[in-house]
Amino acid sequence: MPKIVRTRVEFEGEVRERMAVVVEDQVLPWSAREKLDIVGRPHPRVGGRQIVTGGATYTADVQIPGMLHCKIRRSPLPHAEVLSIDTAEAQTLFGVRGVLTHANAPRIRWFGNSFLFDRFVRFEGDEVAAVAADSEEIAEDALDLIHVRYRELPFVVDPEQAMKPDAPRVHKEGNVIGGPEGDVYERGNLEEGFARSNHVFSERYETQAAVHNCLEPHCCVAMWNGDELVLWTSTQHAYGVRDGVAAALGLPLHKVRVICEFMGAGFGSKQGAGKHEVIAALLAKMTERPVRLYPSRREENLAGGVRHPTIQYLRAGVRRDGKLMALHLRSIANVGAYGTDSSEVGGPVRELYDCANVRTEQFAVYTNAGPAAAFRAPGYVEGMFALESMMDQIAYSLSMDPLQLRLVNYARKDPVRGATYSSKPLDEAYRTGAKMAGWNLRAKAQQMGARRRGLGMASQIWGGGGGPPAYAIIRLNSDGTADLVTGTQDIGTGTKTVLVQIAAEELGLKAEDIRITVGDTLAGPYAPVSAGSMTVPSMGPAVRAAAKSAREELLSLASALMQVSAASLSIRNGIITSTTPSKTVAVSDVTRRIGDFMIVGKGARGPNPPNVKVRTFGAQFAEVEVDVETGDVTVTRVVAVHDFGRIINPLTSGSQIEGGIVQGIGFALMEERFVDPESGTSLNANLEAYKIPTILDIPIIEHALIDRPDESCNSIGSKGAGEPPIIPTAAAIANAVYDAAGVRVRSLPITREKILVEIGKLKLQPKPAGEAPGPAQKRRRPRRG
Amino acid sequence: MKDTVRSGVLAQRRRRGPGKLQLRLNVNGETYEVMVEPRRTLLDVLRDDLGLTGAKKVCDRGQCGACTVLLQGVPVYSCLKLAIECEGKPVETVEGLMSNGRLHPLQQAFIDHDAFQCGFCTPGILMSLKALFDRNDSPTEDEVRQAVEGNLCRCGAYSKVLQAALSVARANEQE
Amino acid sequence: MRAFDYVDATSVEDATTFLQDEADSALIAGGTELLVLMKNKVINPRLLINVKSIDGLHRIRADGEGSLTIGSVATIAELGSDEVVQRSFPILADAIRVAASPQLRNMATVGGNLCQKPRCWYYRGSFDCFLKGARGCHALNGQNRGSGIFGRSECYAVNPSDLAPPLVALGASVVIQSPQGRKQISLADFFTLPRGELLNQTILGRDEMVVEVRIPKQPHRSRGVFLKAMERKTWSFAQASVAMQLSRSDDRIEDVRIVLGAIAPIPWRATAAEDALRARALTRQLIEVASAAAVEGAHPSGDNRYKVTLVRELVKRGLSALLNT
Repeated sequence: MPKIVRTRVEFEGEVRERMAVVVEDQVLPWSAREKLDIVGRPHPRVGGRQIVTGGATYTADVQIPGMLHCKIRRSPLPHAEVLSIDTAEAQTLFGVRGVLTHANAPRIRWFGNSFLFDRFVRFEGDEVAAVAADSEEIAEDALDLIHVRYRELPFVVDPEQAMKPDAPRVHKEGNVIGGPEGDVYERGNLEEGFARSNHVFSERYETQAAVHNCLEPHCCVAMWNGDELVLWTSTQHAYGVRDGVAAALGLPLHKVRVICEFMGAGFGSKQGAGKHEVIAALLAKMTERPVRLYPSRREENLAGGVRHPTIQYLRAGVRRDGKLMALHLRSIANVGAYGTDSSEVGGPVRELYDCANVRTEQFAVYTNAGPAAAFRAPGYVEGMFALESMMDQIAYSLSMDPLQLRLVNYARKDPVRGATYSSKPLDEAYRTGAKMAGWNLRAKAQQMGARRRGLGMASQIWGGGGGPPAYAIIRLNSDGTADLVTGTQDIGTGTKTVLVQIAAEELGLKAEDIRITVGDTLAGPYAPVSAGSMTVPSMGPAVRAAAKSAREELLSLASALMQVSAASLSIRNGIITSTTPSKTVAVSDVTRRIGDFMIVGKGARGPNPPNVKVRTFGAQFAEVEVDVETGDVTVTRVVAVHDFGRIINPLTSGSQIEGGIVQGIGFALMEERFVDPESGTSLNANLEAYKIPTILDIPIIEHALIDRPDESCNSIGSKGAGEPPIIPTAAAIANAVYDAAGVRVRSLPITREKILVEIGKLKLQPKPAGEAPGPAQKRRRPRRG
Repeated sequence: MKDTVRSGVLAQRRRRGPGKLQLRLNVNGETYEVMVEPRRTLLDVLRDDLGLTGAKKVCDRGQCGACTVLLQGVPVYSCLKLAIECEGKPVETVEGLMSNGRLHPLQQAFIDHDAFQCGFCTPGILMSLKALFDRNDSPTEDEVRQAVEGNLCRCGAYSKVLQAALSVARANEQE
Repeated sequence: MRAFDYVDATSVEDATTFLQDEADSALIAGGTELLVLMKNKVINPRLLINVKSIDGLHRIRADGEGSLTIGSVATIAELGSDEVVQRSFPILADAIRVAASPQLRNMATVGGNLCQKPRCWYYRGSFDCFLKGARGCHALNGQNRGSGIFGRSECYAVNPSDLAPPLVALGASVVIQSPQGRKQISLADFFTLPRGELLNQTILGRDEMVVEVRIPKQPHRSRGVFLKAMERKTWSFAQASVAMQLSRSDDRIEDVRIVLGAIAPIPWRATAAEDALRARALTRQLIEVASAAAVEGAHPSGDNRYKVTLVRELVKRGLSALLNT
């Protein structure tokens, strides 16, 4: 029976205690020794055939007869008051069916005290008006015929400027979210820690605004059936969109249906209802026609979200033996005009190492830049770059092996709460990775003319334990096949495949005999957002519980039909076997004989274990080649070892690792949104000047998985794999660049410009003693422990 | 002088547009007639007029490769081709890759090697590779990389794309 | 894109007559540049004149004497796979190999490549700038990592063509036609610094069209190198490039052309470096002198300082590669 419990739910680095209605998980975890047929083996993607034939229907591909096309007129200014909007000319253009502005749209509150169409625009790209027309071309022509008068307001795009008391205010409440103190965490006594340190290091790090650039934009199609809204949308959370859109439009939840069958990626930027969905719904209502809204790549880059750019001041105190005595981080995250403060930049400093005296001060600051949004391990990617660059610097200064320094400061327990970990094989990841990467052989300096080779490493910590609520239903059909139905969505990670494997394993059916339906709020029960690396650990146990319930019902009917006790029955490959007496019967025989009486299994995710910290861990080793004359950086090899508990599908988990590393390489070396300081507008809102990695930028990626079930975290023993792989990549590359070229670039991306400037500096003025050694000193490499 | 004027007038009559006009296109061996403006791209015609939504619209500026189709056998970005330029020229899209209900070996290899994640870039990558394999059925690793260097994959499935393509190349070599 | 008329040109005369008759018209060949500018509404022509339909204009002809004539609508891929190019003008083949992407090389034409507009994000974006008839240059004090270090005029945008530096280094010329007639000029003179009334990086007039590019026979024992630095490993415009072609007699350098790409509004002849090399034997010391001379007079404006180091190094590497050939 369901009951109300307090459970700790961790999401993207933030832990929240909350009340949850849960069904106590009746399913015992699969033990490490359990022999599983389908789980743990490579399984090709469910839906793969549709993808490779072009038959997969993404939101982008949804076409409804009579559908109109919507285009949005956006602010060209970073900050202004809209004085007037004249739409008369646009309305008369042939083929224009509806125009929406603040004058005729309902006053729907959006983001604090502003509105869907607000009198103030706060970044270049803010929505000002929308047009629905017979074709995209006409809609676009109409945009040019809308005349808007603005009163320009002073703007601020630099977060440190924005923190000053006299800075232009982006929102009335002030620019620093939560007030001028920021978000402070403290343990121990920081000053004492520094006092007891032999060395104190202090550095400034900077990370850039990286654009998600999901290939499928934030698109949607809205259609009304009477008073019911059907919304196809590219989202990471169908239920979240349902709730958000219903609230915005004042509709009861059962009048909104959200569908997302195939999804062209999110990376964190599509976590709930967006303005575009509400605008499409309003225009569909106004025109009584289905409306498609498909943003251009430029709009996507302006308004679709970016990783919070950060500035981080990190101070570390260490004893002579490398023991961390104090860590102090002051971080400033630029959330743009409408971002949130959800980026836990201080997470790695707080919880990666065993350090008694720690203080983190996180500031999240509004500016008139495009809004920030969660981007694959928000905060941790940025924070890990600073912390692990610092650790590398400390190691070199102390003539210690960087890996040894990490082991000296290894945290056996969660340093924040003192809780034990459900499992922590980070030391094993270090060892395995070091061996694979040839860490101990790296002392041999490798030089080929101007090309210098180097190896660097960095650690990973992240949540990924998932939690309730999450539900699934399994229905057995009369021919022995099954329908697995959940409200989750597959954002490209392989969710459908993994859930089918779990259901097939528990039910004893062949995977191909199970069809999964996801991404339809009408069909499946509630499922959480596909973010925070929590889909598999949240949904997996729910699916397994549903399958178990269906299996038990099936076996109890089979036992009656076979006249044996249910306890002696098991199912494999669609065959029910009784041990005593020895008998077999096909599942389809049982279901056929019960006819259209349907076995329906219901499953829910149980609560997380109390007093245990669930974390994923890993380590990456990057090998780079730096051309010290041209500043070219080539990543030649990345070794990754991660722990996600039990691996359900090595094929898809491997893809997650490779994908995270590829994005990490982009973040480390080339990706950056540029904003013109003079006008506050974006310069590279496209895929030509905003660079993402191509196939030629990708090195050999070798990965190993610590494939060991975490039996205490949930009934499938799995943790999430989506975000961990991107966390250490940039830091490992930055450290490898140092190892290769003797320059430490503390601002991402590590471009040719920065390398050449750093090398130029070294040539001009050798760094003072005690600082990082330059290339000339490089041959005197510290001995490795 | 007179001649020039006269030919100029005649020439002006050859102008087509800016309104809709009838075009005849050959896609995957089928002939289609559509009524579109000269400004409509091949990509938009494929997707919105013919319902062939395999080729994807991502950047719409020739900067991503998701709209790659073959025009007269060579890969092009269909977002930078006007439909009117493609009259009478054979177009191949991912929808035409299967033959007799069977997957193309590249398609099968993509499934077997998990050579995609969200799959939005996949039709474009498959068409770039199809063009490569049409002229060279057992390409080297470098040739495969060069063939898909004009296709961005944001999920980062590149190494598996490479493995998938090379598995087909090896199979072809052994034949 | 705004609506427009479309016409298939039947001949070069036909195309240029349309250009003359319709002030608001543009030629379309590969479309990879034009359609992007139109989609971004940087330009909004009312008539597109398709020149791919002109008979023979895509032809690449070798005359057997070592020179080559390239029709202006030959695609870059066609040029790159041309045997004569690969054999006799390898720096051009090398430049093509690292230009754009396979799809773009299949579409883009040689003429279009030489006529393309700068990639400066201020020009491409919604900024009023010199090239759009306004005063001043936003790049000068803005985000200018891509801006030029040579040839400063009212505009600081660099010429993005990957083909232009090797073609200039090979001494190529272009044939231009207008309703008034045909002329042939050296490719080096085709490019010009935008200034005054001239809001362009080429001298091409409104009703003129590039018809052919001609590459002359190279001297005996002529060798070349092309190098390009990018922001990622492929499919990027150059941050800097260098094309050099050098011929020797009795180990003395007879003729040398060093052309720098992506560092000035035009393909930039490193004349000081050429002067340093001419009539001397190529040695390591001379290479140092010449590569330093290549960046003499460079005036970076901020974020583009790295280009000075980069160009010097590319020139040095290029010459070093020629040392033992």
